[in-house]
Amino acid sequence: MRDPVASPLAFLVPALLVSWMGGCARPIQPGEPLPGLSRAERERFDRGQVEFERVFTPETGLGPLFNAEACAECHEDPVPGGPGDEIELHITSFDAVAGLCDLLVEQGGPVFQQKATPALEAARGISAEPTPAATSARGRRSSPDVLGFGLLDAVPDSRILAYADPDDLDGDGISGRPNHSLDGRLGRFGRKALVPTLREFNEGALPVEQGMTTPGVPGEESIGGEPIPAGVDPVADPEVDQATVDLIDAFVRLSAPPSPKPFTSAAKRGRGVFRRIGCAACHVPTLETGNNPVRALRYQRVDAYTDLLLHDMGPELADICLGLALPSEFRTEPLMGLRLSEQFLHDGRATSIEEAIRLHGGEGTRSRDRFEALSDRERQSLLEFLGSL
Amino acid sequence: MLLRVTWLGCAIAVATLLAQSAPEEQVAGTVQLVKPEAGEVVVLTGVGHAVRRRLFHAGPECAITVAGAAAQLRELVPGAVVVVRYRMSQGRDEAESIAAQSPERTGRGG
Repeated sequence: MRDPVASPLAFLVPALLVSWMGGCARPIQPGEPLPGLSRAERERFDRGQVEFERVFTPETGLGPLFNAEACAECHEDPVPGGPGDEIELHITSFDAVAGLCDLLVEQGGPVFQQKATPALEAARGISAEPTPAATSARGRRSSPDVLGFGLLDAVPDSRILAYADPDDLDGDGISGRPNHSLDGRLGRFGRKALVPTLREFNEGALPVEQGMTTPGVPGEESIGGEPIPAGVDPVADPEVDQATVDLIDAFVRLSAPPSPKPFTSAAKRGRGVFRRIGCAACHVPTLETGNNPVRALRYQRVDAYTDLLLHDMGPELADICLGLALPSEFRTEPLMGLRLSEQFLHDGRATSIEEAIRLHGGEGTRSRDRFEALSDRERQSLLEFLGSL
Repeated sequence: MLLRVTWLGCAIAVATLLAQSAPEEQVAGTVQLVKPEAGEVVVLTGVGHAVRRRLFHAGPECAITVAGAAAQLRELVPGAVVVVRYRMSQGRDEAESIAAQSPERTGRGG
């Protein structure tokens, strides 16, 4: 038997292996955690996924009004945290003269709940939240994938604000305006970027989507502004404890964005086209995270294809106001994981990436027109690139 | 009669002490509505898309500032982002101070 220590190959082979592994990192599949988690973080990710998939019932706090029985009912395909085919309804009212956005809190708030528990149906004879009587705008909202949102959360405010050009001082036709939360912090989550942190995005979804009160939101949603009838919501508030909220947050925070498919030569050409026709002005290809308690989120590059800012998308796509966001303004949708989606734009009205591009208006008009003017070969290259993300 | 008055006095004193000992809390949000004549301000707060309405009573002792300068309740405008320090007193949220970041509407959330 040869002594492996004595063989030069004993050193060379591992060195080459390490070099090869470093240069060709294994692609991350949808649903995997961020690479480099500690054992404790990985355990929280796994336990969080259980909570993310947990189906709640009226006996465990669901409702009385709700949109889904579990987080994974809407964020589901092909893995928990992926996009879903559910479309929900958001309603607000914009006073253009006063420049005020009414979130219709007295009438149930901006997120409309489309289902009711049997007890509420029996007590009030309703199967969904009553729609506001006030003159209001309605916006349909598709269910996005949330994979990689922890990395978006870890991007410093200063990095996002560096892209803002609300008055288009550089004259490129692209503004980029920050939204702010109700308490004045920079927003980044949600289709109108109202929500400043991932933790609030996750915790706030429990009451508005599942009718589950939490330590941070201990009061139930109203029934179109009316109090909940006695006896229809027997579970004591908060219906979800802090540990459960933290685990759900950990699952979303520690989920990795799936790696793009290997770029074909056409996709590589398409990546160049993406920049050349101006898509990258809003869909900024790469953001960098800052310091973070989680090592796997600290000082990372994230190919998110967003600037997390609001842009005017034109009157055809306009729907509701939200915070500072005007009806026609939407946050640049991240394109990481785009290949997992089957419906596109904030309301899912587009059934293909190509259709979504053609529906861009407002600040996206110039890029859309350039897209239309591309040769078939260039256009297909761009679509192949986007379909690889 | 004297005994009744004494008991009433004690009860008021205890209630006052309890009210004063209620912990001070703080909340930030967007002004939705101001009712100067009633001494009330309604503030919207939120966790994610879960938005809640909070009614605060702002009595004469409430210190109101706008951009750091002393102001009256009526100078708060819907849409302004405010920080409210308050205590629970006599079953309602009693504002001790309300600080608006700017005289202009910054929140549009009203």
